[in-house]
Amino acid sequence: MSEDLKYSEFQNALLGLLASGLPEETIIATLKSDSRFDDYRDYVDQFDPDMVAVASELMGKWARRKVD
Amino acid sequence: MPTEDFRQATDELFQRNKVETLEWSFDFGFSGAAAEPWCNDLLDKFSAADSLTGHGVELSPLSATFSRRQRDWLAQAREEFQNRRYRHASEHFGFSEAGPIEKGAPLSVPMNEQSLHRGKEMMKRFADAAQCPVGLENLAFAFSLEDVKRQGDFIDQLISEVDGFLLLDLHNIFCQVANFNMPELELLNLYPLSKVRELHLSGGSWSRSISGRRLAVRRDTHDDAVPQEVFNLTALALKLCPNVEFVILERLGYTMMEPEQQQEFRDDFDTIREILDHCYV
Repeated sequence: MSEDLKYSEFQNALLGLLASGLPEETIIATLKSDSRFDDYRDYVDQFDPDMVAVASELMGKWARRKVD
Repeated sequence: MPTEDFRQATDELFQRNKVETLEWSFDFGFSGAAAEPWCNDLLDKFSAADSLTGHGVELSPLSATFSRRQRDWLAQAREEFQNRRYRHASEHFGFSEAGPIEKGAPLSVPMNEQSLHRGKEMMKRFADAAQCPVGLENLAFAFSLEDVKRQGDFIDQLISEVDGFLLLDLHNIFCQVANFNMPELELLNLYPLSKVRELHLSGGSWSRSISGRRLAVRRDTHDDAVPQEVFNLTALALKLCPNVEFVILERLGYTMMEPEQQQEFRDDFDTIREILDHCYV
């Protein structure tokens, strides 16, 4: 997988998980366990659970899905 | 904000010619919403006086893919900037669109080669559409302390691509100071302060800390009066940033429904004026 595709896939997964309503620890664990995002593991390791909870709440409030 | 409570809160300020610059969220109407006539009158008046600045909300400059929605947004921005004169245009650092989500809240990104390249390309598109100076606003949100420490330099690299400016939001700085226990001067000095052309001031709120790592989480909700800490940061920023031209007081619509809240907003405006007078004597 190219670096550009990894970045795109990581963004997709992150927003999708944040909009899912899953608990913050589950979101972090899911991102860390996905082998597609091995390059981003150090980045995710630093995630603050409070901030993931805030992002999740924001996405729950504002997220709008694409209509094809 | 083109809401009735905002009109009531600000009418006196406009009547007394206290307002020197107006900022408009120019993508407000991109989804079909229409501003009230009183709002359009103000925009036209300040535009004619070359005192209107533009602030976009929904571009999502650091999204990994360039979407049809972003293409449409840029086309509408181009039309808006052709029809109305703006001094400059700004957007938010971060991304709010990816995969099946076309609109969310701006979030920070992994600051790597990929995001830097995508961001630079989008800033060039933004500058081409606006045909005026463009800049980025620092984000209140951060996933980690590392995000906080790296944001200033990363924004500098992005705006340098278009000879752009930094919109320094001081409540966003306050959020990061409070949430990550970062000394305010140390944090400010991580930003390209000579490129600050505009300051934002606003209030916010506190929410519960899920983890218990901190007493509470400071949020950039724009729904309360400006706290004293942000006024203090304003005085400090004005000393550190030699090229500030615009200072904007922000407030979310429908959050000033009571006369006392509207008076509080006017009091905050007057306090900013006093700080500016003191700093630029």
